[in-house]
Amino acid sequence: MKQLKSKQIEIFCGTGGVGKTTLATSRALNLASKNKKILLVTVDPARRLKQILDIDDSKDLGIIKKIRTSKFTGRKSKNEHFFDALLLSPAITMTRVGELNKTTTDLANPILKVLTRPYGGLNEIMSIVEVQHQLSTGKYDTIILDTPPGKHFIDFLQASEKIKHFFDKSFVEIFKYLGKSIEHKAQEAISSKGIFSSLISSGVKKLLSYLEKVTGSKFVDQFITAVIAIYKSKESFMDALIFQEQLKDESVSNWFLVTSIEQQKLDEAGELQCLAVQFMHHDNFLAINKCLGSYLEKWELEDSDSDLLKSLKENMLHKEKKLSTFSMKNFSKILEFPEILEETPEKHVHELSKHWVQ
Amino acid sequence: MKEDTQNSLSRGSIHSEDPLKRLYIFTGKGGVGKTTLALAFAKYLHSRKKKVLYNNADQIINSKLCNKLKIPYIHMEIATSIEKYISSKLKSDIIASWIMKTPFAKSLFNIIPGIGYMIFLGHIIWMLEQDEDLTIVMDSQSSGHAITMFESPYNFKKIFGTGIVVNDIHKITSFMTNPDKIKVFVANLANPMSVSEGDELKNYLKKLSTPNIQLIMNNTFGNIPEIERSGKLPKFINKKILLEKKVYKSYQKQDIYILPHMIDSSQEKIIQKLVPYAEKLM
Repeated sequence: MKQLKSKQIEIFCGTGGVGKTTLATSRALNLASKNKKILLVTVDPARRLKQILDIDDSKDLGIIKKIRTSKFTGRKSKNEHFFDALLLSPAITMTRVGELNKTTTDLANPILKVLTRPYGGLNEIMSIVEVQHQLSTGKYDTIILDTPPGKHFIDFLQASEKIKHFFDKSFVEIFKYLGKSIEHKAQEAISSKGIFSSLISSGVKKLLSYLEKVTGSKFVDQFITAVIAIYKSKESFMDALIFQEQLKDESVSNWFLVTSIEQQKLDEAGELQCLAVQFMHHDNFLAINKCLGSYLEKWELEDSDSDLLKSLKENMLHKEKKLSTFSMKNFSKILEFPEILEETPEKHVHELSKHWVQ
Repeated sequence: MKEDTQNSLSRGSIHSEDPLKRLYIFTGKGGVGKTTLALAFAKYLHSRKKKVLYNNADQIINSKLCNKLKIPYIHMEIATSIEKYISSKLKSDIIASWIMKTPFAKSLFNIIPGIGYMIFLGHIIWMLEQDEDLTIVMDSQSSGHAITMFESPYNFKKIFGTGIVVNDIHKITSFMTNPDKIKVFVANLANPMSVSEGDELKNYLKKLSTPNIQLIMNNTFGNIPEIERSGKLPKFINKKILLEKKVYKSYQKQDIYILPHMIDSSQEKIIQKLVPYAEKLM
């Protein structure tokens, strides 16, 4: 790899434990040091980012934090560089959606409150909404995304499809039954308690009455209120679909599929790539992390060395070779990052940041 | 180093005479070896003539690998579990299958994955109730998504409030907090990132009253049998071992079960080599 131009969106994905977060942070550090305005976002609900960046998730969740590059380099200077970092909070994103659409009171729904808890399960969808918002501010040269591991990354990519599906199909059904004038009828529906009594028979009515049998009527009432609240905030959710389009645009986004030498999951990585292809353009990179190549070159075995050491080295070489065969077969652009043996995550990120090609 | 390791190995509260639990769950940060460990554990139970099923909560089961290793497994599609559950509640397969086909239900379950996770857990527990001799080894999601699964019954208990579903949710939470029935392994690698994620996960699970949480440190170089006596190690492996030692220190007061790096390139063989260690995980 000779050249690597930074783009507006840079997305890091891969199976678990390959070093997505560390590599994404090293990219942020690298670009920030070159005077670029960077936002680093983590979409993974495990949120390793906070540890690397020392973010307190009891108070910093959902808020943009300014990170000094000297935190990693240890070199403080007059013209120090910064980058922004954001740990997503579905609840805070939902609050902003409420303010934007004047639906704050609607969105203060018990069901939505539970679902937007940090692990409530709406992470992927809310993160797409948030990232699209940050893109639209135009404040950043590059937004770097650290995504959830494995197939949850596909969930993230599918989030906008799910949103679209929800608004296209379900709402058409629901509102056919609630009546055409959404605002008016919806209000009416919420204020009248016996929501089913006055309504004509339809598929949705049947569905909701089954639901009521299982869950009780309190849930069904709250559920309908939640659905209406989201519908009223439709604009913000539909905006997120723009994001999906940009991921397919070669001039807007860089894709880094991250894998590592330690990984046993080459099959999974291949499968992930197949699944992701429908969302990404073809100009993407394979980033191989934790390469042992340079260490193994320096490791000279002697005849007197034990069989254990011999098999250890042979095994490491075998893994390197297996991965490089896989890479050459599937990718044209390959970036290699060495295994970093540093004590602290900060030093680790700093070392890695030096290995990005310009 | 030697002393340090042996200390940690014997410090654990792992008693091999512990009676068999009904459900063993393996979780931890991505890439720490959950699948490898869960399969080794399932193989160990199977070799002891226990009736055991391996299940992967997160991805399609590698059936080829299971067959090679002769590990019985069960694959469960979340959508099928949901349909079965609805059908049992409404006492009609036809209605359940109709509900699952409506675009509304489809997008609802899509948009709220917690419901699926909860019903999946319920299904696993129901299977265990149907067959008293069965043990299930669940290869779970990594930390963040595992928490979504563990938390889901509590979240939906709040959401549903009343209704017949709440009784079923209660069944799930009482099973998941019963120390005779469940054991959870949180696997880690010997690096600071993995350790703090594992710690966080453990604390979160404790808050949900999850019993029997056992930490595992997987894939350590310093504990490869004979490695210290095998001659001059290359610099980078020495550095790795040094970093591992520092990580152990942060664990000083906790039970942790340490496993060595297995020198082999095939996952099948690594699992076979891990089986003898699995006994200690009981």
